[in-house]
Amino acid sequence: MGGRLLNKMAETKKTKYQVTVGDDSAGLKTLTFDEINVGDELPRYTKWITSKSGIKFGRTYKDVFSGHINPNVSEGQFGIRSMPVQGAVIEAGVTPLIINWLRSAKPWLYGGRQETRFIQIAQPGDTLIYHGKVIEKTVESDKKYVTVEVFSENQRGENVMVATARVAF
Amino acid sequence: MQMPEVGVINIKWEDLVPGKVIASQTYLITQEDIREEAEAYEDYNPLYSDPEFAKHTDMGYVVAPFYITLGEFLPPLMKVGLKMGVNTIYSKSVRESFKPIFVGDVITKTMIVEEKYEKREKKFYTWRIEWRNQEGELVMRHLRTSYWVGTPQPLIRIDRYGREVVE
Repeated sequence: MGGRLLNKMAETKKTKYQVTVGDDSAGLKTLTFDEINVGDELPRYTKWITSKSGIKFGRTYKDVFSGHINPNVSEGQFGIRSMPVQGAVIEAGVTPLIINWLRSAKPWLYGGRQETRFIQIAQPGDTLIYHGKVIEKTVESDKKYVTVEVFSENQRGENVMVATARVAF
Repeated sequence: MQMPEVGVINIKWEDLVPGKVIASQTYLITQEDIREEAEAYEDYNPLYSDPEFAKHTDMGYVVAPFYITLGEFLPPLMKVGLKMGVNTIYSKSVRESFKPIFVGDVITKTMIVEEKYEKREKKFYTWRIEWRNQEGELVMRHLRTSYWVGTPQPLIRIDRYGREVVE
């Protein structure tokens, strides 16, 4: 443990005012295909659903009246007044989960694939926790793929969404 | 006050013919589009908004998030005067990114009816939404399946006393 810490210190340097800075010449420390193992768990990602969540996404398609932003319409559209957020808002939480884990967006944007199934709605006040676990590593011609099983649960521990995410190296 | 764009013709179940191209729309992708899109999902990774930050990542530039929709299917529908007049519930999706989308790309989003089917007495339909860049390269594909509830989508209006009425 102490040796590892000393090695870390060796990677830094001092300015003329003795301020410690990192080594700019060092390469980016992103996860590689070889460093990933089946069974690895991803750091969890938490997303809070507020009354603003549906409104923010609704702006992208000029929503001014749907049940995602109006409680009266929500009742007629979904059978509840609580304004569930759009499925896209739930689905999009997989992206920060993946990018935070890899410390890179590259394997996600060049050949990434997400297959999602929605289990139940998420509504303002919900806390969604996204979990991911590596289930497969494959090599196909010049591409290497890692597949991650993802689920998002709410504050009651109920599944809201399940997904399979694949990244490409 | 500018009124929102609203399509006038309701899409009917019969209109969903597999293979039929329903609408397409072309966008010049700006940095603001990318930032707004990421913030719409409350994803505040500066990779989507800060060129200086992005320069120090392995992408090198501000890039659109994997989950970019630009309003998904509604703006292209509105453009051709169509709307979803009945309730539908988004049930599953497959999204693939083949290449990143950068600032300055010209993206054409095309909506095609992929399939429709009935399962356990419920109707489902799938949009295939393809995104191609200025080189004609497929950069993203989204298969979006929804449950066709079929009940009229509620609309709100304001009565003469200024009260909101849901119809």
